[in-house]
Amino acid sequence: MLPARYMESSCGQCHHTPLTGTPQLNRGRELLARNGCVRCHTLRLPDGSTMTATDDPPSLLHVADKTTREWIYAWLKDPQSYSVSATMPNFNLSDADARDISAFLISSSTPAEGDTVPVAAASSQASTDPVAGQSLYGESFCASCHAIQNAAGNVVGGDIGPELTHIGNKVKPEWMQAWLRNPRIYDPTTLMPHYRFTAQQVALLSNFLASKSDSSLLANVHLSTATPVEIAHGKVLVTEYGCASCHAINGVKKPDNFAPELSRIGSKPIAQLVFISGMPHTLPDYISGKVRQPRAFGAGLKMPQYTFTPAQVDAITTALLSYTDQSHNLPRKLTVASTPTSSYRPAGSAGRLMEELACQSCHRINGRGGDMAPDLSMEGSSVQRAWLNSFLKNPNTLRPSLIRRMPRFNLTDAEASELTDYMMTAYQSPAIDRESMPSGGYPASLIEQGRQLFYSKYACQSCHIVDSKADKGYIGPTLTQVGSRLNAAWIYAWLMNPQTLRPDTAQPNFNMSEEDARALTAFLMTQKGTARQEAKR
Amino acid sequence: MNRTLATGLFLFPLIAIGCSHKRPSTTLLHPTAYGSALIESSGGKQEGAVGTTLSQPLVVQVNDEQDAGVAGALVEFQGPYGASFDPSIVLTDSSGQATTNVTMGGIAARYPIKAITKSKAQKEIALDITEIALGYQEEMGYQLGERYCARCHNPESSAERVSNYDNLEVKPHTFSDGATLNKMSDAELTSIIDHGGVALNKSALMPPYGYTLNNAETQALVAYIRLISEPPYQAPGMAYAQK
Repeated sequence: MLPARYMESSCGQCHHTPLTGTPQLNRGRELLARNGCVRCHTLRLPDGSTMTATDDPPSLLHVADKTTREWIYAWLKDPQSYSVSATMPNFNLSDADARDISAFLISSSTPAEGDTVPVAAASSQASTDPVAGQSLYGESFCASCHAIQNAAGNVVGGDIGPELTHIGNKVKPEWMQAWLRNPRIYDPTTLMPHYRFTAQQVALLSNFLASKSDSSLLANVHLSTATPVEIAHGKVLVTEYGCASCHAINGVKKPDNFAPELSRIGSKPIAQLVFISGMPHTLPDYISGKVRQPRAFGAGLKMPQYTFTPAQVDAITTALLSYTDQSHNLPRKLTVASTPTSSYRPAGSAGRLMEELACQSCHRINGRGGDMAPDLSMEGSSVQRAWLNSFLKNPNTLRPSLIRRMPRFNLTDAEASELTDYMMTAYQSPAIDRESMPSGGYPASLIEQGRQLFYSKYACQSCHIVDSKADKGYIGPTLTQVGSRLNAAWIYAWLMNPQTLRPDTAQPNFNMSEEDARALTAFLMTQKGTARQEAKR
Repeated sequence: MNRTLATGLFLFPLIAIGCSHKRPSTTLLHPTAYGSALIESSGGKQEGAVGTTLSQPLVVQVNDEQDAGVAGALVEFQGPYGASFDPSIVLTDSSGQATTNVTMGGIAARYPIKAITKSKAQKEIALDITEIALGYQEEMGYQLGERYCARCHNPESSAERVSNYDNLEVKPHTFSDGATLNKMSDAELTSIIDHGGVALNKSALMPPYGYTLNNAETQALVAYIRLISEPPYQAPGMAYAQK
């Protein structure tokens, strides 16, 4: 019988979308996609689709522009000694193998075309000021995506981009400046936005980041000039270890079916498994053992050592156990297929601008994008044009309990207004008619009725603030300016049933009468912010 | 009575050896010191899904008469059927602490766990600890609670979640507040979740979730609240059972 700790795998035989009751299964599937497992192992789902990887391993086509052979060597030997949160697994390479792979990667790298401003040109008096650099790092919300390990050893920050604790050891100063000026030149598909920093800001930030280093990290790495034999051997190793399954490398093709397929791993007969002596002979023990310590299963195995916690190993095992023969043989109508991955990209010149700002690294739009920031698929139905335009130019936070994370991109007026027009037009909900409710001119009695409902019947002040002096609600967005931010039809539709607009919102559905919703909308539309806030905008 | 206890104590290590998957070496530990008190350092009252290892280790400390940690004392962890410890027998470290990882059994329940050490006079010193195993329903209740309820009902703030507790004029009860919640019937809890505070003449700041959650989800929340309640919740027995 399946041990209780893997119980949720049974749910996963039919359900291929995340369920509230199966956190471990959901996490396991996320880990399979996020840690590059499915870049080597094919995982065909019962609905015919294939699980796609959600990580973003860097291209190594121009790696010599970015870093040194010494750093590559040290990284290959032990990725986690450079950054504790590194997801790159450890291949347990010998010194000679790491030497040869680093030699090949450097020799195969071609220079990236485009940005060639020399490093010294932008330096100035202010650029050496570490405090200004640090505050620019904070103001630009770099920490939303990048983490830095603090003195106490805690890794603080987001995990979308790489950890920057020792970035000064890794990248060359000229590469860092070029990257900060426009990351898309080096990597056209990067999740990093093009910030439009001034030359002064680039110098400040790059100097601040260069100071993030540890002198002992590469102190013991001494490599002599690479010989052709070493380079050739490096290429053989890169091919054998399947490096190109994750990284783009000049001269090495991405291998197909590099590792065993996992589509029916949950039904693999025990007779086909090779166990380590002393371990229990069960499939769950075999899978979790393989995830935990793949190289323990025999010499010559290529699967690298990951740094999963015991809970993560359990989650991955649970997810893998759900891919059984039965899950593939069940009639389609009895199963819940996975959500198809969307390839939506905004169109036209506004679309190009949105790609450049990497909006979808944080915002989901029409099914594609990150989950750090609100879904923008219906933004045009939701907000007022003037508000969106000023927000893009100078973002502020809407919720008191959230740390603001939307950066300022130094947009020109023309760019901000092009983006605003595009979003107001393209991101509409067919269910909401912006003209169906007036934005003002409601009778005073209706507004007063709305106020009563707000404070008594629905007690909205438990989560929202309308009067910044009296109300304290900390959960939902502050509503002091909601009348100039949202349009009335959206507020009305939201009050009637918030889950139809955002299924995962914490706002309950009050099953409100149309009359109450209209009165509340009238009241909320009078909240235009104070004169001072208006003046600031 | 004493004899039964002694036999039990004599038998326990044998049973522990017999049942344990660990190498025998862990059972051959000998204490080099003895304490006079056993206290919990951390890791009690954790919640984890059935069958899983709890995320934090359970740490207890053996103290002497001066409340200073005793190194080298032997601590044994015992639990009900299904719960297991890695390791189950531990010598305390230099600060007097014994650490073990607890794996919950397959049944959703409160698991009474005993940590035992012996005094110099070979008198048993026991410490009772509770760990909580969440079944499918309780786990779902926990998940829903985190999404919809914890912002107000949990006064603790974290980096990811700032608590709204202090901002509310009428303070919500924490989910483990048995002193209050145990007095309410399942029907009353369901009603307050579905229809809001006003349903039971309580604070209107608690909104209704009956149009957002379905019945199974509301029941999951109630099941979770019942399981983690402090003091523990006892379901009203049938009338004849009480006679």
